[in-house]
Amino acid sequence: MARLEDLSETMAGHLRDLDCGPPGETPVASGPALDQRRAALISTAGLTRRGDRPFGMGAVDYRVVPTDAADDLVITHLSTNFDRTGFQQDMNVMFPLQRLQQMANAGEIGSVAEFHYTFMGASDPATMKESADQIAGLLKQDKVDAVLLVPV
Amino acid sequence: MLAHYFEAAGLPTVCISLVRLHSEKIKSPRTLWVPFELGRPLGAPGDATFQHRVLTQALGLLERSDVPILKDFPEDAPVSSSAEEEGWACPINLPAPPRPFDADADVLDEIEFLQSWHDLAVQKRGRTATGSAQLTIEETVRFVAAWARGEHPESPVEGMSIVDQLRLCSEDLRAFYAEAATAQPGKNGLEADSSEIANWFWSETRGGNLLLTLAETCRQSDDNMITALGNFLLVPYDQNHRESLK
Repeated sequence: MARLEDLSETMAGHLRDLDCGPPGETPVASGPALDQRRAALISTAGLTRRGDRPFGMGAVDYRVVPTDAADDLVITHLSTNFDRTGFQQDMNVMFPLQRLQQMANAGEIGSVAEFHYTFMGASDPATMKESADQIAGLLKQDKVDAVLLVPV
Repeated sequence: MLAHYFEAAGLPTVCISLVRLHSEKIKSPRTLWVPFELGRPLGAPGDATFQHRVLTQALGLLERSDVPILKDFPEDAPVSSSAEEEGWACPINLPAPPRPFDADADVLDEIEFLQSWHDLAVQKRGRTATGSAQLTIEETVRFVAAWARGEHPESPVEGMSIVDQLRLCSEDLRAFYAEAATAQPGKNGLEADSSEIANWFWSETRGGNLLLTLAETCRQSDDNMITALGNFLLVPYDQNHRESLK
């Protein structure tokens, strides 16, 4: 469905022309075997906890989602052009935290982080470096060594 | 691009990607491209086994250091009812919209009609995605209806801009209807896909009509932010061809 040829021409054209910036050199970090790792989610779906500040136009900041509050999320993303009905029926299709917990319970990954983070992906990620650096520090405090980035 | 920042800070990352072209350009360390629709990066709501397969493939890339890696997930999302001949039929029979359309009263009637279905959805799922605008659904309707009529009440939530208040009210109204409509399978026992729910909301409900009216009113505004709201932030591209009932 997200194959460009399956989308309307307006949407496909928008995605095709989006400036992704210069790729630069790809950095690489390493860690232990998967079943020893601690995983955190980073979502760009503009998810916020109910009652938390909504993401606004041009937002480059982030919101914190504690693992135990993840079933009370709402979408405050600017774009109306992605499906919400999947999330409304099952949050895991957008924010797969319960699936990660099941993988930890089954010993497929080591554990699930205490905190996860969300951005609003309509903003230019080139302007999110400061927020990402802050989150990197927080993830390290939480002993995370597996970061799963999930788009919408 | 976020992956570059985390990886450079020493944190191993893996990205799920919905738009392969972007991932080809960005060259994040490890990426699993999935052929799913925008908004469903794990592919299938309510299908834990399918979601688990996506996660297993994605997280499995974490142990690799021969970056950049861009791998394709080999399965499409399970097909929903649009692949069937008949398609989804909303289980709820809404009364036809009256003429002339009276935004407040008519949408509030419809909300009352849908409330028990919405209650059922919340009970079944243990959660709701409504409430982003921090208003009750009735307050949401009244606020949107006032703006759709050309009135300009202030945002009832302290510190929330009018643009954010209106677009989040729109988000909540759509969520309320979609949650109610999917509380049970369709009349013919089929589950709805996203486009069927969207087409139902925007063409057959008074709530959808209210948002179309709001967008039309906002487009006439002298305030550029409100005009942009009407043009881009209330109605999806794919539904923008519709006109409101008068």
